[in-house]
Amino acid sequence: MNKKDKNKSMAFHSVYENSEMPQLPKELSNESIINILDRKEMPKSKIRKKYAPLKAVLAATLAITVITGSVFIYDGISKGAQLHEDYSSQELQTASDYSEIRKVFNNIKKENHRKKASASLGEIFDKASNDLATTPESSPGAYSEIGKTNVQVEGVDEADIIKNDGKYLYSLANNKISIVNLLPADKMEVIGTIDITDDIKIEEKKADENTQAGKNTQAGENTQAGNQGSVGAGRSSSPAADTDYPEYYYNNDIYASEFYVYGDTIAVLGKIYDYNSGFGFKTFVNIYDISDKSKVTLKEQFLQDGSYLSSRLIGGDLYILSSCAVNLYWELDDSEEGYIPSSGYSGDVKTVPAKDICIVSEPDEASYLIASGLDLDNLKAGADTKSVLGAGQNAYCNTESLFVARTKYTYTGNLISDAVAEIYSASFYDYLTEIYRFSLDDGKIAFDCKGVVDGTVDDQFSMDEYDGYFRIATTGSDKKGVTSGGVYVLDNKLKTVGKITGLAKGERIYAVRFIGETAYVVTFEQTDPLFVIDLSIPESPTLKGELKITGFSEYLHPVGENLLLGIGKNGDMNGTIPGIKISLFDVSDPKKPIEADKLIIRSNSIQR
Amino acid sequence: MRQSDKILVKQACQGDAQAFGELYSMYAVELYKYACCVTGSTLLAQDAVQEAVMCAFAEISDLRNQEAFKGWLFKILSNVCLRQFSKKYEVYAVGDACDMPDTSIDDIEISTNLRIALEGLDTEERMVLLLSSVSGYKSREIASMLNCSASTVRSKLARTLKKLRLELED
Repeated sequence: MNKKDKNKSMAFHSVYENSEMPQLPKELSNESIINILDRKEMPKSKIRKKYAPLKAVLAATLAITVITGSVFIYDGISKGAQLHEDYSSQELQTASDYSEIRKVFNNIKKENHRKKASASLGEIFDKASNDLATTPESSPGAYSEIGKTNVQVEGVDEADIIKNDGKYLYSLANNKISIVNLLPADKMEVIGTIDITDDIKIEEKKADENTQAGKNTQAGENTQAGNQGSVGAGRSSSPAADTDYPEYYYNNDIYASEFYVYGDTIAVLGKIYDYNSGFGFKTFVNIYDISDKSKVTLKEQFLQDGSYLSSRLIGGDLYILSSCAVNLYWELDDSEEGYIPSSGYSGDVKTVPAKDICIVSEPDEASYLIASGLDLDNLKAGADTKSVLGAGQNAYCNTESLFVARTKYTYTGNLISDAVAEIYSASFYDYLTEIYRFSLDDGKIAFDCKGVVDGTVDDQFSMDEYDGYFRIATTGSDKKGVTSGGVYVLDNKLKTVGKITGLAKGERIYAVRFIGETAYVVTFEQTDPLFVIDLSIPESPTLKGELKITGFSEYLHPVGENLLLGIGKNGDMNGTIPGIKISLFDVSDPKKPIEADKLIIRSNSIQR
Repeated sequence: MRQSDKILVKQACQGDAQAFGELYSMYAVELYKYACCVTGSTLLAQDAVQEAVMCAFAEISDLRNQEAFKGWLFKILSNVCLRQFSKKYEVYAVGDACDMPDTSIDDIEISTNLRIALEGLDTEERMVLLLSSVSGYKSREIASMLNCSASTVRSKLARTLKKLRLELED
């Protein structure tokens, strides 16, 4: 650090130290924290007793699984050199029974003790940096009469916080949906509201009655097991929960994220914290009948373990993705509590059968990705749930398939190389992205196959399927830790058939858009190159042209045939500077993309 | 680290919530202040600290170097703060959706000087700045917290300091 920087740094320090700060809120007081931590500890004896009756169900599931004859081959966690060039596609393997899954977790637990704590945190960081680069998907499409949610794939709707069907405007804020009658335009009025929080409370009461009457087959066999039947029930019916959690804490625990409007149905998706579940968050889908806008009624509530990740609506089929981490500090025993996810309509939540749980090769993360499909036209048909042990972060979905990308890294170094790494800042981690494909049909989800490419994936727009080929753009790094971008083309078995790598050495991919046979890739370090890659021959992707400008785009959107809109950060020759930059790229000549126009928005001024 | 603190860390490692709470209370204000400045929101900061503490408690048996407890706690908090980005939909109502949590520092009451300093910096820049200037971590340590190389941290810090809209050196 030079002297000027040092002075600045010290000056900042004194400003920070002398700055008044808000008081530590009571939620963060020592007592509150200890209270929460105490609750986190699960009395083990209780768990075993609580789920003893479920063993019968478990046994039955096992029997069914044996009949289906799925074979599970788990070759243990073998760390070491990866075959970089020879990624062949693989069939997905599902678990034969829960004990296999337990074995995986116990292995991960052992691994974790060996590895540095930073490993799992590293993945969190990866996820976070992916999130950083994810652009909100809510900008309205420009070319339809009614404003629609901006979607990646035609025919596959994505959830939003605001929806519009031409007559009514629906918006979600603070766990409430407001319905506004738009016509006549000069007399717009709010004609209905849905309070998601209320409905989750109603569920609590219902579950209470069920539990008392012993009606609930899943949970009713035990007076305190209400949490299996309903999200909320765990709080009000279990003796542990009704003691000293203050009310204000509750409302913080319901997060309605986004919703869909489908005919006379609204499906609101979000997550809720369940204190009695080993997974913490549960994802909920509240399905409302809005045929009478002033008297909206809750039709069904669907629940699945894990934090809400993403969703898609294809026709009337709603697919929901969530992810959850397994708490390895619980004793894993014969009951499935704590390590087998569950899903189902409220009152009928069941653990996911072993045959529906796919285990990734070399799972190093004790977490699940859970995908469920519901048919909004026929809720009675029930839900189909599949789960992947080992998790995934980004999802791309078209009308036939769901692709989930999972970043994975393998440590290839040792103690000596660690020391070398410190000196030369070299990297001894191999970053890989595994892609899992699920086929979608009528609300049913089936495992298909998986593939592997080098590098890490940025967001859902980094993936695309076109003309039978799956394309993915990743940021990879070489042995010295120098990053560069790459685009891979995979066939319908997810085997790599073509690739172009080494784009923009030392930079990272910030935005990708596949449009037909062309890929547009934005990378950034100090200035922003836009690459145009021709994918018309899947076996040999070629770089057509590139453009270097200041700032960078984080989202690319096609405008007509030859224009591309980029939304991102403003910058100068040395990196980013405050402000949002919107660029319009003219890509009519792929060899020579040009920035046709730009708009810079700073907090209180617009510059061109 | 004092001997008594070391004992607390040891107890916390064995799952003692009381001991963990005592350790937490030593750094609570510092953690909260850091989270406020990074996230720019008291609400997000509160969430972040709470989540970080829970996460830390769950993973404490993995803590190899027990003397590094504080740095480890900050590392977890930093990661949680980064993750907060994905939560912006859930925290902000439609009306204030344009106030992205990464740049606005509207809802915390801090001195004007600090506000001026932090405005215009993004979350990662704030983290690097706070961890280096305030918490006094070396670039190598920050690199391990933010999972990047030490040289990246140094260049980021230099750039951030250049950006710092302060004429405090005068």
